[in-house]
Amino acid sequence: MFPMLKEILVQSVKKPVTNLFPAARLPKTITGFLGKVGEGKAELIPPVETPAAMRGKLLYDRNLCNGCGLCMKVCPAHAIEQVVYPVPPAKDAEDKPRAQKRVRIYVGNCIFCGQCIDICPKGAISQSPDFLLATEDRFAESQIIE
Amino acid sequence: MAGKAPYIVPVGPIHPALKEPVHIELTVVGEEVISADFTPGQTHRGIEWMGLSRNPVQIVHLTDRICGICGVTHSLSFARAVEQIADITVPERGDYVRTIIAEFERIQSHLLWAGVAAHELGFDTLFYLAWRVREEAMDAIEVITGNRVNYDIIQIGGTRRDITEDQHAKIRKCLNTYKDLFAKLKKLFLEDAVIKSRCVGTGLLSFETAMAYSAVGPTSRASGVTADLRVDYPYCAYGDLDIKPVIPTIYGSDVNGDTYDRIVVRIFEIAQSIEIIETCLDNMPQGPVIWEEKVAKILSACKKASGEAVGRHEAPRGEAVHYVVMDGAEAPIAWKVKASSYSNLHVWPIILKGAQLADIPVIVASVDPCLSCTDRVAVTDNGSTKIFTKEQLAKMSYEKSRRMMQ
Repeated sequence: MFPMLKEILVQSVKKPVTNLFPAARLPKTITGFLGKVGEGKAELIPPVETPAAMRGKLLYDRNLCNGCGLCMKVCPAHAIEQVVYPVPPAKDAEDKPRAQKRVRIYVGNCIFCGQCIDICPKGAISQSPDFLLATEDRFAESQIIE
Repeated sequence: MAGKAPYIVPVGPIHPALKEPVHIELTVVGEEVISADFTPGQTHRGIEWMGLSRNPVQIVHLTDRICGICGVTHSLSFARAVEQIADITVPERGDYVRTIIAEFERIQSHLLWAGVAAHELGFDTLFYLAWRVREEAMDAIEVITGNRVNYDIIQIGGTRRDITEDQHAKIRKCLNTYKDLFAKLKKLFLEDAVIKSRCVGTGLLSFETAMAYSAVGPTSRASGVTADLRVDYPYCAYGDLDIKPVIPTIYGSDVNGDTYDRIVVRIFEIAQSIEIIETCLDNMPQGPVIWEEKVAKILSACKKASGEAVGRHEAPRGEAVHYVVMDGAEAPIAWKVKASSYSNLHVWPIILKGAQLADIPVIVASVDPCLSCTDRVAVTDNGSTKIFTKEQLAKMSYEKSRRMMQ
């Protein structure tokens, strides 16, 4: 244990290696603290930077999507389902509206492998560095991408 | 405690923090273990069954979730099996990227294990140091793959991401940190009086027993078995490298096959992995990293394939084996996973025999980092039961360390 003593002494004067909490001191109430941050009276220690290649919450562009469903085929977690929107009424005799196929992604099921991005022929799915996603309701608005 | 010795001490099997729940039954007289037995198979998650309703491209990411530490191990073994069936050749650069990420995994896994072993001895300062320096490897992995755990970098036919020139600087910085640290780690782990007195001569596994029980990885190499899949059956880029299995003689000591030797092997394997990564970075061939860029084409190639194959990889803990059978359908018709720990756990009854109760945590940990099985130990004694919690067992271990310091 003695070779370690030097290491302990050196470490005690260095700054902590762990990530810092958002607040420098424990606030009395978190909402009160966040309110102060909003007013500019307190400062929030920013979260650790994410790496450039971080695989976070998916982004989906439904206008680019053509509904081919390849992403569903490679999703290991079965987190993607197909949604068929009903045929809109024809505007005139020339107009031939078709049923629109799109996908819906459940963030609660997603394992963030990014396989759907690799296979998408239209580039409709991409990945954001967003990782603070935990909620109590798996069907909350933030948990469903469509 | 009333009643007569020997007492039966069941350990495990379930704890929420456990990677691999396992049930151990120890027969003790006083402090000494006179026999030990264990029951594996308590963590059946049906992951193989899940695989049978998915295609190989889906399964390769499912395999990443078999183990939190060996993410590459399982996906690489599985991908190698499917590549053999579908007759897919991995490009050379893909092989090098696979090797680099597999070696980073070995570094972080061994450091994690070293920290756990120190913690079990009651040496928490060293545990914090090992886990702090482990972050360097995790950061390098994060730079390459995008995630700290569940790397998802292996794909059938290669890897999904390349190691670009601008990542080299960060990776080399990490490697240099470890090179500077190695002497310190060696000194702190191998020259410490308490670690020596707790680990030398405990958990003895002879060469013959290691061979007879088919122990794999550092557990077998610590007993002098020169078995290393990377050397014996080279795959990926290992064929281009000049590596030798690490056995305790590398530290200039005799092969005893005790807990201390297992620390020696793992510490020196970290140095070996650093060298391997450096050589691979220097000699990376140009070209693609994957056999086919389009995932849909990989899918159709796998769909046509039929046959059976075994994919193997030398994981941080030893050889992992995946057996896959496909018959021209989307999903494989059989998939069997044999992780390295399964082979190693069978030596527990041997190495626990004659050990003291306080030494159990470190002996159990010396085989495999998964130790949360010590969570709950009950001493059954003619109907009346005394339950040892993990804390109590850990306390016994710490007290023994303290006694030795005096």
